[in-house]
Amino acid sequence: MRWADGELTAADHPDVDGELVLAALGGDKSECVALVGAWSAHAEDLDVLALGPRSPADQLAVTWDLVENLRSGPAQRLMGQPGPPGRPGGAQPARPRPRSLPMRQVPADVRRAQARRAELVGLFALGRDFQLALSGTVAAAWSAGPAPGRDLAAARPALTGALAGRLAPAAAGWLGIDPDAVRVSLHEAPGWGAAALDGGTLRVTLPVRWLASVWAAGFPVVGGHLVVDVLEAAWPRARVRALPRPGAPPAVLSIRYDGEHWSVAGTG
Amino acid sequence: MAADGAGQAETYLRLLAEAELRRAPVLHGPGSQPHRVSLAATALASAGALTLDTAWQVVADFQAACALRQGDPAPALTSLRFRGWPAGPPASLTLSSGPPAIRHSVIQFLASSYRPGWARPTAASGPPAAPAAIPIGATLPLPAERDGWYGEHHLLALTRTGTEAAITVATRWAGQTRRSAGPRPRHAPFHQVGAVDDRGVRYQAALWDMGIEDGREWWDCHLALTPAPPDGTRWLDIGPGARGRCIRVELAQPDLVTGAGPQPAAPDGSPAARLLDRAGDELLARGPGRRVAGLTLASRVGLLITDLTESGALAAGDPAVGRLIGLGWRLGMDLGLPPDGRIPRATLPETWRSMLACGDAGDGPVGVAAFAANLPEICGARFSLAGLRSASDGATLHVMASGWTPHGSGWLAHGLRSHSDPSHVTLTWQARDSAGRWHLVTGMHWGSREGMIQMQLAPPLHPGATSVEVIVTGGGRQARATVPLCWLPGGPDR
Repeated sequence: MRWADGELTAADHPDVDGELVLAALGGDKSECVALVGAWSAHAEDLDVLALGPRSPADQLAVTWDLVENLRSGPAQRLMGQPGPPGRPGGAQPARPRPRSLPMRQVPADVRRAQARRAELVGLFALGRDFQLALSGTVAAAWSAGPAPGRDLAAARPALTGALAGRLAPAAAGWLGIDPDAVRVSLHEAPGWGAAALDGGTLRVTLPVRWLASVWAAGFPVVGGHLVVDVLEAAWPRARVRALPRPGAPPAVLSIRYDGEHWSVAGTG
Repeated sequence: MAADGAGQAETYLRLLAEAELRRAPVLHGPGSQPHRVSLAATALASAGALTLDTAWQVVADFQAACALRQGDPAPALTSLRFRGWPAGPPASLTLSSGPPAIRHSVIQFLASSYRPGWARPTAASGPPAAPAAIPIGATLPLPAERDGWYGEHHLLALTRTGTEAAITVATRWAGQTRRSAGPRPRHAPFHQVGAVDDRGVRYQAALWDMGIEDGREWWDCHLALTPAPPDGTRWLDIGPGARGRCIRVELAQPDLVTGAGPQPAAPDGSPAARLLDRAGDELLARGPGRRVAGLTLASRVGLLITDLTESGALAAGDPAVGRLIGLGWRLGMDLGLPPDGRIPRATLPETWRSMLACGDAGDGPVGVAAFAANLPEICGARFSLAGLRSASDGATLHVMASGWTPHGSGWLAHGLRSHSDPSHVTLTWQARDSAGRWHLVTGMHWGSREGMIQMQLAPPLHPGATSVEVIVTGGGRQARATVPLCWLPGGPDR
């Protein structure tokens, strides 16, 4: 699996669309093709931001083994779906079903929601880099403005939470304060936002695009500056707007990735 | 609720969830200690600041996020809401059936606050059966049991619906027949009695809610009659007791006490304000130091105020906030005094002032009062009051309920039961005796028989009280009934 230029591709499956058509007609669908489809299906899914990583210290413990267990274990039956077929001969007998456990009819919409969630967990199993890329994809979609299926007003609390969950640890590290002392709000007006110290509390307001263009790119804090906006980007370099301290006007910096870290390459 | 208000409340909850997630909580799955996000979500949903769906969505997202960090993705799926899930677990899933370990854990997961259990109760197929109560007020002496001890059943009232019938009873050991009798038994007197009606039909009478064998002075219980006496029955003979004695209960009795209402309750503010007032009642009834689900009530009340004010559901200067802070100060809690200092006592509700003045009283009359009163329907529920037993430190009120199940004493700490609906209308119970002393319910016991509830009232009745007014409030309305305290022969011991 390869993610580049905002897209996930399966290198060994050049004709994903064709394989999806075959799968719809009853053919087998490879896991890779399924993941490409899932990525597209979740490209605007706010659950990605609700469940995904918030900071370098925040690690999801999702492995492919866990995903397989999830697909075949008790949760599968709770979802109203039958368990996996029995193993070939010589394997352990299937666990007898408790007779008093009633057959619960899970509503179809809940089954669909759970299937979608299981699909998302499978995407998380691709690893941290893909988790960040997907988070950035979702944030970029929601920062593009309203569209069919994208109710910004209804999503505002979730977007504020997503922003706060990622900005607070970064800003706290920038100033050496407790993340709980960072108050975050969504900036929806022109401009990059604002950041000011109010007693012992840092109040920051930034737009949703900060998640996509700054956080997901991996440079919220560079050279002692809080990066608040991206002016130009051409891998491995970028021109950014960054704050040296709260309340100060932002400076324009050139930053560069050296294979391990982002660092300031120049000003202006 | 206004869209802006709901958005502000949801934002508060999501920001709280982010802060909690940073602490890397380990949610151990089904358990009795609700997490911070769950408590806040319940407070906001109960106050009407959030819809149930939104509240649960935030909690589910939080729990799923925690689960993914613990390497257990299953809750990420099963925490999604099951619409139409029944309000309570089906009988076949009760833990007493001793399921295997894995099913037990799944059941616990489903039955706990970890599960999407906030589904509204299924609507009843029709109005609840109206219970009717008849006072009895007689004592049935019982034959001597082991070691010469003999007991007595004080029959308070007969209550019944179309399908259920029970006689409320206060029972005790009255004495011993011979000097060589052993120590008083620790269990309640148990002598099998029955009933027969005017047509010769016989009824089984089973004693319920006898509690544990702890050697107490009195047991508050009831005799469940099977079958329920049909309409048209003129009388029942209850017995036989000692020397074959029976007590006759006339079923057709005029001039029963009928409650008033339901009438509009006095305006008492927003749902959030009412929530704080209920919290104050709980503090007075159970004490700030009472621990439920890992929290003291004082801590829980502090969190409740924080959640309601910082989410915007209630202004920090709302009178409800002020009086709860004032109450807390008087109970030795520090909930934060307003800038201008003390909260005047006069701003506290009369109930609270009375409780503060008499909360430590130990002067209640000791005796049993037989009465019956049928309350009008309130919020879809109906009640009959069926007698009371008074002690020096409190009183036990018998109630037959139809169309209502108590939420228990843990609503404040648990945020209501995991399988109940925070927005479901709940009823509050208060009483005021004729001497002006107010009483709150400190506990409810509803045992094994549907409908019969024993409510513990505190502080004790005033020694000079001759009647009690019982007030049920819910949904902006009140139902009341005033019952006379007709003490059984011998009168109350003061």
